[in-house]
Amino acid sequence: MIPRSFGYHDPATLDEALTLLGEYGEDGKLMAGGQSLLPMMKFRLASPAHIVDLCRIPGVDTIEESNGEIRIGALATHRSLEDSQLLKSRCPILAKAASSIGDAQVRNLGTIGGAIAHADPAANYSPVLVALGARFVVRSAQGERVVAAADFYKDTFVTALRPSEMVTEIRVLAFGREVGWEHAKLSRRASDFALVGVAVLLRADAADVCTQADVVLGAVAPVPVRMQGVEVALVGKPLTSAAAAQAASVTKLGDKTPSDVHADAAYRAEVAPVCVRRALEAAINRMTARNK
Amino acid sequence: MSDADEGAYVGQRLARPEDRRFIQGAATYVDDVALPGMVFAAFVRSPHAHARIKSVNAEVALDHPKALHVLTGAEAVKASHPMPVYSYEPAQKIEKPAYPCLAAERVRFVNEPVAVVAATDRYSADDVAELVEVEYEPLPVLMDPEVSLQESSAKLHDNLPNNIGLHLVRQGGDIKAAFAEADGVLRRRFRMHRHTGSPIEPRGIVASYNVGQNALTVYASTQIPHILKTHLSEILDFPESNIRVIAPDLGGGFGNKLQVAPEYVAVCLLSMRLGAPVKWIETRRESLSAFIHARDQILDAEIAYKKDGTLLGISCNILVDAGAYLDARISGPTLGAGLWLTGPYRLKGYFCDMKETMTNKCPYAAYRGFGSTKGVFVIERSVDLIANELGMDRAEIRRKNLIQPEELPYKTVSGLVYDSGDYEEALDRALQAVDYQKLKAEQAALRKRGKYIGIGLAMAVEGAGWNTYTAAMARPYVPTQDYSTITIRMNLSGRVTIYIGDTSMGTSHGVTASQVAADALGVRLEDIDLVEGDTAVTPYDSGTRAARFAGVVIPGVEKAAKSLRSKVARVAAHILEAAPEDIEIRSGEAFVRGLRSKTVTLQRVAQVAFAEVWSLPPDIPPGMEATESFRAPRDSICVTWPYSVHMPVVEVDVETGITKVLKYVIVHDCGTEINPMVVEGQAVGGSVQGIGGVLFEELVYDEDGQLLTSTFMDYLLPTACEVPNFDVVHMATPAPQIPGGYKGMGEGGAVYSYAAVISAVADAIEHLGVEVTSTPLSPKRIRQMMRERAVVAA
Amino acid sequence: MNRTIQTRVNGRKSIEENVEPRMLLVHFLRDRLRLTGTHVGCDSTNCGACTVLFDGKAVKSCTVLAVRAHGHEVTTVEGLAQNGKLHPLQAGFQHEHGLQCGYCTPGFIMAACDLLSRNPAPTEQEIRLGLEGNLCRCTGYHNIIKAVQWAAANLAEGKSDHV
Repeated sequence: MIPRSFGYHDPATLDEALTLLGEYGEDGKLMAGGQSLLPMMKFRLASPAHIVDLCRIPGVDTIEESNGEIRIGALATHRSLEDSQLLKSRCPILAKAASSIGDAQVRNLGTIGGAIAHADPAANYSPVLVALGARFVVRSAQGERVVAAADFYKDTFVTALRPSEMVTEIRVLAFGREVGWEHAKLSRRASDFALVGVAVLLRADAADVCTQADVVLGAVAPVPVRMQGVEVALVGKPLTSAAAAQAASVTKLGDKTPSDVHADAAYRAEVAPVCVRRALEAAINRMTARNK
Repeated sequence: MSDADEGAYVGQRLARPEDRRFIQGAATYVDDVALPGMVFAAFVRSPHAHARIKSVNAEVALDHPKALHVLTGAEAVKASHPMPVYSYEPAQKIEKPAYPCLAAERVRFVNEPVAVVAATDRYSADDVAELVEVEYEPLPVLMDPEVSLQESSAKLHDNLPNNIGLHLVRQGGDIKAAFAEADGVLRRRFRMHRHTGSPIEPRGIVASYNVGQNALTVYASTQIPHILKTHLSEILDFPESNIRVIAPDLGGGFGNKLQVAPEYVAVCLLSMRLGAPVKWIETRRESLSAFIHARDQILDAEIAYKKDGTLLGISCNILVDAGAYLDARISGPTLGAGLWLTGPYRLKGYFCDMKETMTNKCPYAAYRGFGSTKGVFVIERSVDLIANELGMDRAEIRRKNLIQPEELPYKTVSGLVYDSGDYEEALDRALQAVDYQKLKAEQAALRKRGKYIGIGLAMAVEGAGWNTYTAAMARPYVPTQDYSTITIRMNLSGRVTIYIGDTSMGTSHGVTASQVAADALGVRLEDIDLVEGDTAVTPYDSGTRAARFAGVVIPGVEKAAKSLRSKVARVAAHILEAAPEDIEIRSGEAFVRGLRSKTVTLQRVAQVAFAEVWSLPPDIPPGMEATESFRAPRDSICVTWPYSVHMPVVEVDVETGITKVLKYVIVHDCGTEINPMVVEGQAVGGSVQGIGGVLFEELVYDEDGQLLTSTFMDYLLPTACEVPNFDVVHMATPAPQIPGGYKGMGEGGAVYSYAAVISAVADAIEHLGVEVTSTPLSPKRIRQMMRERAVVAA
Repeated sequence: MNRTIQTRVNGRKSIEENVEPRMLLVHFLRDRLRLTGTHVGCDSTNCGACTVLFDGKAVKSCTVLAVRAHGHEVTTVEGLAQNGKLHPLQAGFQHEHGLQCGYCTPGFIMAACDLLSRNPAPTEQEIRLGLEGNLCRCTGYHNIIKAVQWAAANLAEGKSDHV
């Protein structure tokens, strides 16, 4: 369980890193926290000829808010998201999603940018970021572009990133107590990947009638899936647990639902509505609590 | 504790002095051994479950700048005998399927080793192994043990025409009469799935061949240093006297490390070829796919009972999925399952047919519980199901059938001879500790709200220390487990060292042996050291297994310590000019009884015994050492019979199939307790293996024989988040036949807990119209059961 | 190209030459520095036996390249006892019988160090969650939880045991 040999580069600036990445193309691989890449290299499932290690690049790990938008540096660790007071008050769903990734040690090193680029279908962030309508700043030596989360995930471990590009920043809109939210993962053990992941964001008017619902599932398809049927069923309805149950029952998984040793497609199809219902209830409870 | 009175240490909750090295990172596990000139090995393993090896080409590999050697199966087979197999059935004739240390002609499971490489360092060894080219011709794969039995199936070994590796039959009492008397017969197929012990330290070895001395020194992660030495001698045709096995600190074993590993043999061969020390440390993937698998059995049982709940007899056909080869210990887990089918109950008739079938899976052998886990699962589940059928309470039906204290010693129909205890009292204490009636009321109330908790109940008598014959098969010269030989020595400083030929695998030998020896000798606990695991300095021992330490080894320690004490007393009496019978020894000092002023330190006594030998009377030999053996009684298959009642409480989320263990009560009795803290540690740790085994862990193969759960990412050991707090209640009925009254108890946690956790899940969901007769009870399986129920209902 | 790595390990400066970039931190510590208290129990960042503190934070050293440690501080279980005194976590594990075979113990102790530095008075559930990245096969965790509780109480009182 030793990686194959590789050329190692630990540039001091982002520009240097992007130049190296441009130079090596398909042969180069960025390493952020290394918590997904290094195990794959140890199993020799991945054997990049060159590793461009981002660990010596300063300043790409900040979490800041400006004009209602939160900007998270791609190298911010899961732990820094989990502990961020800014996120806890202005985008708590992201702090919660970060807090149940892997285990404490993995969260100390793993980064949000690395997780996004790795695009594991069972990862915590992806359904949350799609639900939030997050935008990713993507850079290469040639320039910068912004990609919406919904357009970013293409397939299992496949993203819109070109070989020369890296995600440098994640942008989400801040929200306050007016939004009911929940992120939950159903997993075998607390530290495991999700069998089903759910992200829910609810907005309502003064009478608790739903005005907007974002319900996105992870781990049930190669990419995060928005449950449009559930969202439609909620909007315009008073947010009650009966409404949650009714809307959740509309949850439907596609024909690309994965099967593995822990959960076959039939299991996922069966428990997904349960997860959605429970997440909706939790989000509704949070929203009603705001009034108290 | 510095001022110890006689008997002061035994029975106390003492922290382990040996922990000092573990908590400071100063222990020595096999991977911590570094010898000058040491090189590293890595294995080339089969990607196929069943294939003919057409060719092995090491040319490219040997061109690697750091490659030293490549040993292929064809060469290894010429240089070594096959791996050993023996039976626990004395008259058993086993057709032994050849089990080479490296496959030469055919591979029979994924990751079976076909060659081993040596390179200058750990990293290069992996690179070199990758360069060995092996050409295979795939053969049909057998993955289902029942299919394997079919005549039309391919045969895995030329000398096993039916793919049956072993066939045992046991019977007792009058099975016909028992069933003739019955009002009802419960017939069920029970199944326990494949999983294993997975100690956190994988296997590892450093083999060092010294050409000049023609001597082989082996540091190995093993539970059986002496027996490994004996087997290596036979397999390698190498004089046993020239082999030294050292088992350093062992990072867990759980029966898995009773294996005489084919890889260890191959690494020894490599060292002998190179004349250099060779280290091999297993990866987790190798460990999960090619070490030892366990538990996997199908048990078709029939249990006869009367309508008042009286159990009459049990008949069972057991099919064991033995995997690709018969491991040396294969027959134990099979026989154990068969013998433990009778539980702590009075039965009149017993019959059991046990078959081990070959499939293209990793070989199968011992894991904590050694078979009894499956037998206990079947009888305990059956008793629950009969209770359900008769509308009886699960505790009451047990009470009706439990063997009573006045009936002990009691020989069960399967031939186990239980020694002492009060099983009903244990049951009562468990019911009380868990607050059974209140819990049942809570359960009923919660059910109405759609919340399903289950109260598990299981009990059994564990056999600790097997004294079976390990006869038959190729090499019968393997000692039995029912005796111990211990050397104990006082050093010139007055400190004492105990020498034991087994090895502690977390089983707290240091503190417990020291407690017993300190009391027997009259020295302070901190003045005792334990040396284990080195065959050059310890007496022959069958190793750490079958919970034999307390019931077999400890009496030997006590006997040797007493023998040394009498020697100390004689020398002290000589120094103090008193009679030996008037000498008392306490806290490291000897004195004349009633005359504390006539005192001599043990250091002084040792000085005289070692260095002022001229002053000793002629009938006192110099030195200060005793070696004694303890032979346990042989009237039953095991030496002592601890028992336990386990009552876990679980909640099953029926919508997701996820089970959470909420609390867990253990009542247990292992005779005289040496250290209750250690006893609790063993009971709780074993129970969590049961929680893991039932709810989380599963070795899953696909139909091509690829293992889908070959990492800890997919083979799920429970973490701290998946287990509850434990409440342990102690009883202590001394073992009548063992001096000191100690009973072993290390295995039991992983025996009772299976039946108990299964029972708890069943209690939570069976009222919904499902029946639990197989494991694992994973979320997927529970949902599947609920789905199938819905279909049946529709 | 191999590198020279300068680190501070357990408070001591260390300079190691000719380190392969693919060398894992755990092997650097074990094979180069002979700090064998840090163990390897899996290949997949699951078991936590290799946990060390990297600039004070718990990481799994089997999933960190050794070259990354250049210019950083690493603390292993060997570096916990100070001035002849056991760290309260070490003492707690012994006191509460929080270990049996001891193989996972250094990893648990180091993970618990990080946990207590973030949360000096954790609840039982917080301890369990904080240690979810470490596997123990012997103890059933019951006494590990008690060991961390013991350490938390004794850290608060500033007490410890002598080595």
